[in-house]
Amino acid sequence: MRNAPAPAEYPPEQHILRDLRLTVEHRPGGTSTAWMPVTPHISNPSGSLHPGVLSILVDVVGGGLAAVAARPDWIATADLTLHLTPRPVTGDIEAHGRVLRQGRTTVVIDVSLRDDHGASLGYATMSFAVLPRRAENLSVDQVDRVNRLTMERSGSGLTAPFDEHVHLTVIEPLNGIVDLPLRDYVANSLGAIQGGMMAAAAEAAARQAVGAVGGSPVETVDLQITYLALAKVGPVRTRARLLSVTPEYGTAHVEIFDVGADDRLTTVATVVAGLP
Amino acid sequence: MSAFADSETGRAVNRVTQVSLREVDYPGAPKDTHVVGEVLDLEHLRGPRGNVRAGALLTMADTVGGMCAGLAALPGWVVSTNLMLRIDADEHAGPLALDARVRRAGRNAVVTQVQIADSGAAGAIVADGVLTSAVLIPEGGPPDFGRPLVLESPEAPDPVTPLLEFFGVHPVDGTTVGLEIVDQVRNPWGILHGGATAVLVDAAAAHAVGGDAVTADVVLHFLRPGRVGPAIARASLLGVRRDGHLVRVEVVDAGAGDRVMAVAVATVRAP
Repeated sequence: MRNAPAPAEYPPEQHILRDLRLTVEHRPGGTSTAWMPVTPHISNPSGSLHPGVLSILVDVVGGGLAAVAARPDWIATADLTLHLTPRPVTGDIEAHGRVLRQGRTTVVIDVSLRDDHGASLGYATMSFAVLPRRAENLSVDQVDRVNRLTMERSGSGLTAPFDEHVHLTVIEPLNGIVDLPLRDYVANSLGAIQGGMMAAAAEAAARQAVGAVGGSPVETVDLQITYLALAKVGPVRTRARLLSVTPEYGTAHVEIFDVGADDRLTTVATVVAGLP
Repeated sequence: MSAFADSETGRAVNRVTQVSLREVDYPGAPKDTHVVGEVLDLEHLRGPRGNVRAGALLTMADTVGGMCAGLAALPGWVVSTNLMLRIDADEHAGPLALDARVRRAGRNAVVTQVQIADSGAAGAIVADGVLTSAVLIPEGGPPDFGRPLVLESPEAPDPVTPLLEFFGVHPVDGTTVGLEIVDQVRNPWGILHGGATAVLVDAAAAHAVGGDAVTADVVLHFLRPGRVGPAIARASLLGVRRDGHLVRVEVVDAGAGDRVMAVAVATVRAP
């Protein structure tokens, strides 16, 4: 079992959020925008963006907004959906998030994804459960002025294609079995695997299963993810069951288990992948 | 604390979908709650291309998933907060078999996995999704259901009313549809039924794309209750891809200062 980093150290110097070179701007009034440079390591072979990376991006934007909205309490991601209109992208991409509902027990966020010409790349929604604050939670300040921060450090950047870089390992494509170890590098502030990374694992599982059945590489276009429990031990292992397959698209139901926690079911997802 | 406005209100919506429900694997822990259902008559629920409308499937999912979540939440009860449904079959022979199982039963929320299969097509999966519900404590206590739950399908209206006509869905302009919030479309809490919101979202998304478009995939966030009406659903196109149009739908309570009741994203297949 690994040790969670102390909240003050999050994200640590070596972390996926830094290597994606994210810049986030929080504004008063419940909106935030994040920017991420497009590199070959986060692009699909078709030139569209890796949905797992986009899941991390929207989770960062949504989580930041929800944490402020829930103050003084804390939040946990309950669900995340991502619908993409994939096409080749270069330059920067922009994720603009806003609070749709700020309630006593839930916060709902939506995030629009655009290229640097303003053209839509997709749309995401997230729900967060509001939880009582605990000592290990990060402190969150009220946003009373525009505040821009970058997570990039000198030398930040992926050194390999995303799946390889984060150690997503395909075990059995036909059944969508993919492993992801829990390391500080992919952990959230509570020491569990970050929500966007769990989405990336679900996406990889479905992509493998649909591609294996269809016989051609596919790219994910839709993700619907519900988080049931934190993956605190790891590694996590996915399993995909195909719901339908057409010549162009396939839909898979994906479950993610925390192998080190007696195979506890942590996440369920429905993923659609199709020919690029 | 929240109270049911009228214990009889909220039964009307099920007269159009005519879902019968039955609890299995009882008794068990709340996390093991399992409810199955059946819908025999599909003809009045079909759209112009012959498939059962997404709005009807969403309403069925809300009904079976909500009941399963409610039983898991006792002595509390639930209100739907988020419904995600992927619809994978274009042809529906019927009858339809519904299945809802609890995936997580927490103090504040219950997550149920919902599946709809076509018994007339060798059990082919029609739709698969997840309903998340918030747990509330009704002032007058939860609905009084015997356990294990058995609810027969209610008597159908005579004559049987087509789905959109039952809910009073009408076009407002090229991208907008609406309905009046009358007792027939309220739930037991006295607010607009989640199924009515789902029907409205489906209708708006398909109406905006035009022709005989079919909604294939809906993510629906219930944000605030609809109390006054009319409920107005406005669709906006996010993009087009090979499997359809990606459409965002916002539902507002026009009589309550355009308060946003729900936000949805749908994938719509054009003819």
